[in-house]
Amino acid sequence: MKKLLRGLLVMAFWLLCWQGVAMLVGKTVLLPPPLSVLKALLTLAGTWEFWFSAANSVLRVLEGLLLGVLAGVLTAAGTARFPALQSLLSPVMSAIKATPIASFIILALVWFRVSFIPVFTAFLIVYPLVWANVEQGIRSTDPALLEMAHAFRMPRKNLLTKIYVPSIKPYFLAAFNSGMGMAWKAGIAAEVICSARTSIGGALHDAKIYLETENLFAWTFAVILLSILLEKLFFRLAAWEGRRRDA
Amino acid sequence: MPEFRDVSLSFDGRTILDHFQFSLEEKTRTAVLGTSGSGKTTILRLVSGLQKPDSGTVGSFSGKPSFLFQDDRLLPWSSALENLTALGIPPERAKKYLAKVGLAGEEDKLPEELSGGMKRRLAIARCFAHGGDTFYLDEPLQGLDLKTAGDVLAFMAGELRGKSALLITHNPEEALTLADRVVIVSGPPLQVVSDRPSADFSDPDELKTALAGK
Repeated sequence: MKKLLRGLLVMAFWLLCWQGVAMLVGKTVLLPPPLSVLKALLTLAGTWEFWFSAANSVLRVLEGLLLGVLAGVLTAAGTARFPALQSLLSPVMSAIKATPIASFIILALVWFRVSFIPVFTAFLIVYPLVWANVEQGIRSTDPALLEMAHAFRMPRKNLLTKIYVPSIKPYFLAAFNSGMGMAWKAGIAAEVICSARTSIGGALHDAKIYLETENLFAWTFAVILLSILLEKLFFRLAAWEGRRRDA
Repeated sequence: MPEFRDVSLSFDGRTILDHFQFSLEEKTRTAVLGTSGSGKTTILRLVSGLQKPDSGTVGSFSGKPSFLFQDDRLLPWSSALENLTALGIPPERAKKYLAKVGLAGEEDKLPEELSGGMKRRLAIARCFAHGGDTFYLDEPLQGLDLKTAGDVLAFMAGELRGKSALLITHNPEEALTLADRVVIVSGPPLQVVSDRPSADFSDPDELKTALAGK
């Protein structure tokens, strides 16, 4: 209760600061006050375009995320098993990590249709992250347990589900969690740059073009809220999966 | 044929085996005794195929092997029961063996929820529920209190009847209860100091004296 009250007070303080600065600036185009942003958000939430755009953006980013996870896990399994493959592919990892994401988005504009660009961007964020973390997880699997499994001729399926998966899980969850946040932001950025139609990024782009700063703020809030929602959903899923496994 | 022919092995610049010759027999339970650090576990690791020698040849026992590692090696994220079923042991058999080592009712607990002695008994249950023709046992009663050790010793003696076994220990009572043949070693480099049938020793104290005088 005390924690909640403190949280509300902190929020009220910053909202007041925002209101104060907005009044000092005195121009809605530069900094709209909190109430007009809330009004804009409520107005947006009443339109089908808002929900359609949000669903579009979420689905694209999730698609990229899932592709990145799948490719990352498979590549990690290969590079952990075959050092030659690791040597061959590590420059690719370094290149992806070092290249500014904006360069990839612009290149993707040349290569792909617009609706695929956020998927591709989310994929590029998640892929090296999951790959590196899962590979580290595989490498740090307890050799004593692996020797035990070998000595007892443990069935291959159980070797995977009872030794490798639990060993890799914390590394994977860490990568997935930070990957999801980053992919979400990068996916939206990709939508802005390529002004994808019926998407959050596209709406942000339009709001900027037409100087609808309230809408710009409202959409940004929508992005933040969705990000929190996705993160909560992910933790629920991870916790549910953990309980199911223990049962 | 389980035997060591001219086997050498070094580890971290230390010679553990130097042209070592030794033979074991099928359907015989052999105890290898020696002070810790003598390299006796290496004998188990080599003959079971867990480790390769630098030179020489090591023959193995025939049939299906089962293991009791010195450091338990339990799956920390799996329940006691799952630690057995993960090896392909049917749940009914797993439960039966958990009960045999006094772990009935503890099936759903994770290893971290068990005491050191209970973890050891879980590893023992896994070894014998897995079953096989040859048992590799490294310090089986380590960490068990006297009362439990007695019960577990009687259980293991029953399970090992008619099987091949290699038992690594420094406990004379354990050696005389479980083994037909008692080998005392020193090292490193590992050397056989004494190799006699266990029937030669009238009681554990006599073996303890032999062990001290090696």
